[in-house]
Amino acid sequence: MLIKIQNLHKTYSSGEQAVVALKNLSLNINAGQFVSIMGPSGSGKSTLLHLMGGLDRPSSGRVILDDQAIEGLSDDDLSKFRRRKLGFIFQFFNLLPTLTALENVALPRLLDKESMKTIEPKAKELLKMMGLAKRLDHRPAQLSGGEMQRVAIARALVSSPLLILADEPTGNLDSKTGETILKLLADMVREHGQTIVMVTHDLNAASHGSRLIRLRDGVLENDKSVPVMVPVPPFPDTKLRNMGNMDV
Amino acid sequence: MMNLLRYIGLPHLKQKPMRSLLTLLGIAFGIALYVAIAIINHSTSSSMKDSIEAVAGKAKLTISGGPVGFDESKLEVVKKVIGVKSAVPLIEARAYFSGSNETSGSLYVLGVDLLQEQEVRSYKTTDHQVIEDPLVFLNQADSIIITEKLATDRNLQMNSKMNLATANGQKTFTVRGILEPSGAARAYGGSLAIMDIDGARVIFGKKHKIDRIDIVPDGRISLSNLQRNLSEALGSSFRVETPDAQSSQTDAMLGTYQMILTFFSSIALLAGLFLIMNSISIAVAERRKEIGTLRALGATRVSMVILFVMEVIGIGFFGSVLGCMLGRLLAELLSKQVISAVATQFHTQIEVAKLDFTPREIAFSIVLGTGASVIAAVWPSLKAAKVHPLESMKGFADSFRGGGARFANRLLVLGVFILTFVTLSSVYAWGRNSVLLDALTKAGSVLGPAVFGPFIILFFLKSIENFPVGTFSAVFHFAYENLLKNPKRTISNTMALLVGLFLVMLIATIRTSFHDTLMDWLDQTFVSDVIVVSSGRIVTADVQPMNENIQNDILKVPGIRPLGTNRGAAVRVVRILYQNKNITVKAMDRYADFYESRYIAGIHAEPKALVKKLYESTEPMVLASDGFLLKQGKSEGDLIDLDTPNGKIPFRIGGTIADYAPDGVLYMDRKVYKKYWKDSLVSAFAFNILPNFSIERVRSEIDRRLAQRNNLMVVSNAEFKDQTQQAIEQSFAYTRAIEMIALVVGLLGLLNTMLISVLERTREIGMLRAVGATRGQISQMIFWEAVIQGFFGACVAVILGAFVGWLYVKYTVVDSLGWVMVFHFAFFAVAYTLFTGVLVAMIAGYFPSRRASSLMITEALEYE
Repeated sequence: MLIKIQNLHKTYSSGEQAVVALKNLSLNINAGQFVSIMGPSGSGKSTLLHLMGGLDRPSSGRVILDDQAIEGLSDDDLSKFRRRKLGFIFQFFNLLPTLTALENVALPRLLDKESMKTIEPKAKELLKMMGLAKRLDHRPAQLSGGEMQRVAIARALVSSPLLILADEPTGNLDSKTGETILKLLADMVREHGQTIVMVTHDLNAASHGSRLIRLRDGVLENDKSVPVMVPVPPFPDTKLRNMGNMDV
Repeated sequence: MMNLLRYIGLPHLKQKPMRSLLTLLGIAFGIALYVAIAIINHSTSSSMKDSIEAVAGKAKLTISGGPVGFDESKLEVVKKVIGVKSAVPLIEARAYFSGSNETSGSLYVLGVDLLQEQEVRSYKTTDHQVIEDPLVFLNQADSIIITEKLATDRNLQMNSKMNLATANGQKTFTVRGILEPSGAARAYGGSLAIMDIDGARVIFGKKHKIDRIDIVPDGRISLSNLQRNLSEALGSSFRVETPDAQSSQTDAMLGTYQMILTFFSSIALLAGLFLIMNSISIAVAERRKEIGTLRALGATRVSMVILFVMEVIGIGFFGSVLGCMLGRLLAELLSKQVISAVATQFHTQIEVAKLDFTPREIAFSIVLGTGASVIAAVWPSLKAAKVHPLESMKGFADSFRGGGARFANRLLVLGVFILTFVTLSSVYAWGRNSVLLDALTKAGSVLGPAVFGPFIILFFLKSIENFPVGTFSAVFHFAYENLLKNPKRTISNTMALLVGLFLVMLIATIRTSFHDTLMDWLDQTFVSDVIVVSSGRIVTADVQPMNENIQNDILKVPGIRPLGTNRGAAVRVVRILYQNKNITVKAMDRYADFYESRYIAGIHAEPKALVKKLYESTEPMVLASDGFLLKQGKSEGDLIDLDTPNGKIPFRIGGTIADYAPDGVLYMDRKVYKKYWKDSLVSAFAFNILPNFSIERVRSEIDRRLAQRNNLMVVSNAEFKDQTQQAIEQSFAYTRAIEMIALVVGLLGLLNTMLISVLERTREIGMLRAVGATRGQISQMIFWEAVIQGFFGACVAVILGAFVGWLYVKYTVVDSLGWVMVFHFAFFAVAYTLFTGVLVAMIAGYFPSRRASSLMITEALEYE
């Protein structure tokens, strides 16, 4: 079991009113699953993603990732945890405009005090895999939306994370480019056993996952599992490293 | 950490060169003025020290005895003291070229006994001959030896004639030698002349007197023992000092004025730092999403603080280096003004041959600039550390969106807190005994208005919201609403400009209060129609004194009406040492009854009562300035022991008066002064003019009868006030440089924030264009925003500048300078501040408005 969520509860206070975002939610996620989380606005899906990623702290309950309870970690330990074990893909890409594509990909490991020389082969390999071999030195402003999101995916993969958390990764892309990105994510799961949790509004996007969780008013409404299409390899990153260029 | 700097920090600085440059210039300007003042202060002090050492020569101790010297018989007493090898007498005084009333028209004169002089000092003439035949020199009473510099400056050669004003009128001297710039001739920047001691005694009215004795010890006993022996032999009214001690005394004298200079220059540095703080705060606000992303990707809070601090170290370092270069240039430009102001203030000749800026000082300035920048970056960097990783999940960033009211309220609380602290600290002088509290008070006096001011601007904007601003023009209305609806952005925009304008008002308030207090005091106390003086600055301790009998001749001039009870009203101004401070003593004749209510500005008592006390007391009496009492911790009725040639004499403090000189002023009856100091010379005579006689007529009559022979100047009441006014202006001339820097900092700050605000509103501007706004309207809207902010910024700056100025005038200046000033509101500065505020805002608004209007609609709408 990669992720165990136990009785997760989150309340936000807005002025004098308290808004319950998640109500004692429990669920487990296995390694190699591509989990889509859907639900109407205010259902708690983003809150769940934030809590799983250690971006926010629960009011009560636990998130255990790879046997590590993250709610007890200090802010610094949580930062370290995020940069070593998690990858993030954002709706608005969140690339640093001042960095090149290659540097953006290397960023999480640069934050871990590794030298660019050490990270470069892996970062280049990932960008090649994303079909951006010729865009290494381009800055975000010189890339299209789809290209920016592919750089973001490469960045999410650079630390060989246990889990990738994606927040509406296609929400800011046209449908054709969105489709390509979703296929790419699905390939990561299918071919390399990567675990992904994706929040989306779009049913079509969710259909690329292997499991669909629906939330409503902070509670689990539905949890449909779809059989995993390929067996999980023992160490996903080894496989990734050996991959050649992908035509995306 | 290096990764953060290399991949995050540096690219930002490189990608936004304009912004980096603006911030860098802020610190450069701030440090430049600080460096310039430090260079000037240091050079002035070391020049004074060099002069003292150069004149001291081989002497290890010097003996002095008050403002008018001491009896020459003391020389024999000194020579008999065990441990004395040589005791060399000296007359030292300032002499004025005839007709000159400026310090630049004067020279420092050493009256020496050439037969003994080589024991202490050596002189080389330009033909490389040490003066070997003093007898030739002594034989000719009109002989004078001048320095090579003086010869060049005054175009004098060997045997040239030069006229100097003396206590007994004008006298002509012949140049008998020109000295190389070595030994004593290096002193006072070369404005020096040597003459025979007897000649000097006549010129300076010091018959049978000596100003100083230089001692060369024989080495048989220690210097401290010799010092003690000499003190015991001479009594307590004599000072036996090492040249080093003399230097520190001079340093202490200059210290007060240098402190004001440093204070103003540190305010400029604070303004520069504020720009850094503002700039980093904006960068943090602007990069919130980026910081959020970095945090989400695993960057720790500490690393975010370090990232911003490292960026600032880079800017601070290069800004300080640039500031050092600019500061050196500025020192060159300001030195003449500042040194002349110091010389005026302390009535002393200061010649600075060269401006020193040692590698050590350069290093210190760079460390100071960089360190101060880091301090300025701490608060915004901590804000960066607080950015939540969830910020990364938000859409496009608007740094100024939301939380406006809460932000404004927080600023209000912080501003009130800082201003309360500054007020209490000023009133109760918390900084007197604590460097930290003093620094915090100074910093708070700039920071307080910076955070409190924008809140008042918003308050003003809200208060006039219901006025029909919309009818002025739709675009103006939009601009006005934009400012009101985005309080956070308005606050950020106005902060830097407000600081600049606040400093302009603050400086104007202090300057006006100084000026008006002195002029009001003069109006009250200067009752005579004319004063008659010899050369030198009017009525100071360093004016060429005159023989008191000259007034007999003056009284014979038709149209002259005596002011004094018997005849003229003479005043002798000297400086005496009291508790190691140079106190100005004004010994005055009693004025006629008619003027008794005016010529003394009494505090706590009517002038008439004070006059009665001063002149009719049976015991030695003084009236003390409030500054003297404050600095010495004395009160009315206390006894103070003053050193006189007859030993220490206890004087009763009979009352408090308003008068202004560094370290305080004592008024004394001239009869009492003459009795104890044995000095009948006069610094100035005051007379009135009879009705039916014009000042011009009397002046030309005095000129015709007396001026040529006695080197007299007749100065009218209006002329004197005019000269005083000019002296005050000169003393504050350097503050113009601070005003300029403050305004540049304000301009850079507003420009910086306006550019960012336009950048962040790109999409909004695109939308406005899409629904039909013309380029001109967009441009006008941004321009109006700047102008409205400039106008209201200036209004608030006026209020806060006047308030903090009041605190300075009422408390800080009194506490640090000992000058009890009266607060005067700087009315002229209101119009000036409003005008500059709007002008600076117009300049700062021009570029952002151009940028906003040039945006392409489609690109603007897609802008993230």
